[in-house]
Amino acid sequence: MALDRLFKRWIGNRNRLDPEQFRKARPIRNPVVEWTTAEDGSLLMQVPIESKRKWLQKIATKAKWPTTRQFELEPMGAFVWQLCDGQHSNETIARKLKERYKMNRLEAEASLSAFLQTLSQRGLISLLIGTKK
Amino acid sequence: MAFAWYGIELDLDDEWAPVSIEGNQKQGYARLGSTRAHQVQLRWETVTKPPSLPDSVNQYLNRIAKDSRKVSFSKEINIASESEASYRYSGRASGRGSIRYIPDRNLVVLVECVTPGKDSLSSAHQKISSSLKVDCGDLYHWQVLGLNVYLPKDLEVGKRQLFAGRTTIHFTAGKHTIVTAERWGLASELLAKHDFLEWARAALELPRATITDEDVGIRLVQKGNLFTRTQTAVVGLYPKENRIQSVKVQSNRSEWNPEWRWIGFSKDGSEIETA
Repeated sequence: MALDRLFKRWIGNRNRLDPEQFRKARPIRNPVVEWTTAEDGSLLMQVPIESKRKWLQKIATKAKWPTTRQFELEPMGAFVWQLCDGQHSNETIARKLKERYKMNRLEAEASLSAFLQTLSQRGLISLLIGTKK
Repeated sequence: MAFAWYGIELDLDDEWAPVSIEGNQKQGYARLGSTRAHQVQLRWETVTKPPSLPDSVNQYLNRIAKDSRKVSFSKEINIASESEASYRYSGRASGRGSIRYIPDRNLVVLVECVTPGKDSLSSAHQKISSSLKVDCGDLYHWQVLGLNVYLPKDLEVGKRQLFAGRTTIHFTAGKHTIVTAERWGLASELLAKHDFLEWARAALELPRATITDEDVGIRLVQKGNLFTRTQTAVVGLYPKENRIQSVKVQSNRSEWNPEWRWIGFSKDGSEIETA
C-alpha cells in the first residue's frame, strides 16, 4: 500500500492540476501556429509539421507531403482562441464565455476545460501556471 | 441561479451548482457545491402527521455528532415556531441550517449550509434559507442547470442527463406516461445552422410529427398506433437566455397534453417571472 501511494505521488499525479490551479492557469498559444479568421467568425489554423528525424524530413520533402496541419475552429472556439494570450486566466475566459453565450457557470467551465484539453493535446496551446509561494 | 426540485425551490447565486441529487417525491436529498468549498444541503421528507421539530433536529444532529467522533462537537437549536426551527453545529465540519414543516404538502424541508472550515455561514444561510419556496399547487417547479419548467405534481424523476449545453430529465407518471423536459443552450448558434422547425423535429425524434406554430412556440404531434404512444411536444425559444426548451409527452391518455405554462409561458405568450 505504501509503495502504491509513493508511486502515485511520484508518478501518477505528475502534471495533474487541482481545480483551483486550473482556474488560475493562463493558456497561451503556441507561437508557431498561424491563423486566419473567416467572415462567419470561424478560424483556420495552420501548424507546421516538423519531424525530429532528419531522414523522415527528407522523405517528406521529396514525396511532397504536406508541410502543415490544418485545424478549423467554430466561432465559439475562435472566441476562446483569441483569449489564449497568456494574460487571461481560465477563470476569466470561462466568465467571458458565460456572458457572451449566456451559459451557466458549470457549463462554461466544463466546455472550456474540455476544449483547452483538446488544444493542449494537439500542441496548440500551453498552460502557464503560477508557482506556489 | 435558482434550484428547484419537486417544487422545492432555493434562490442561489451563480457560483452554486448541483453536485448530487437523490430520492423521489416522498423523500430526497440534493447537495449543491460552490467555488469556495461551501455546500448547501436540501433534504425533504413527507410525513403523515405534523412532526416535533426539536426532536427531528436533535435526531439529525446526533447522527452528525456520531460521525464527528474524536472531534469536539457543539450544537445549538432555536425553535422559532411550531413549524420552523434553526440550528448550528460545529464538529468535523461546521453547519448552519433550518428545518420547516409545510402543512399543505405534509412535507418537512431542511436547508443547511456546510463548510469544512470555520468560516461564518450566518449570512449565506440567512439568504439561502429565506429564499426557500415550496409549491403547493397543481404544478411543481423544476429548475436545474438552465432547465426551468413547471410540471404536473404527480411525476417521478427517471433518467437524468446533465451535459454541458443540454439538460434532459425524464419523468414518469405510472406506466402509461413518459414526460421529457429538455433544455438546449447556445440557441442562436444552433439556429444559425438549422431551421427551427426541422431542428425541433430532429432533436425531439419526432420525424412524422405535424407541426403547428402557436405564436408562443411550436407544438409537435405524432399520432400513435396500436403499438406506439402518441407523442406531443411544446418547444419554446428564449432569445434573452439564448436557450431552447421543450417538454415532450408520450401517452395515449388525452389528459396528458403539454401546456405552454409547463415551459414557463403564460397564456398571452409572456414568460412567467421566476426567481
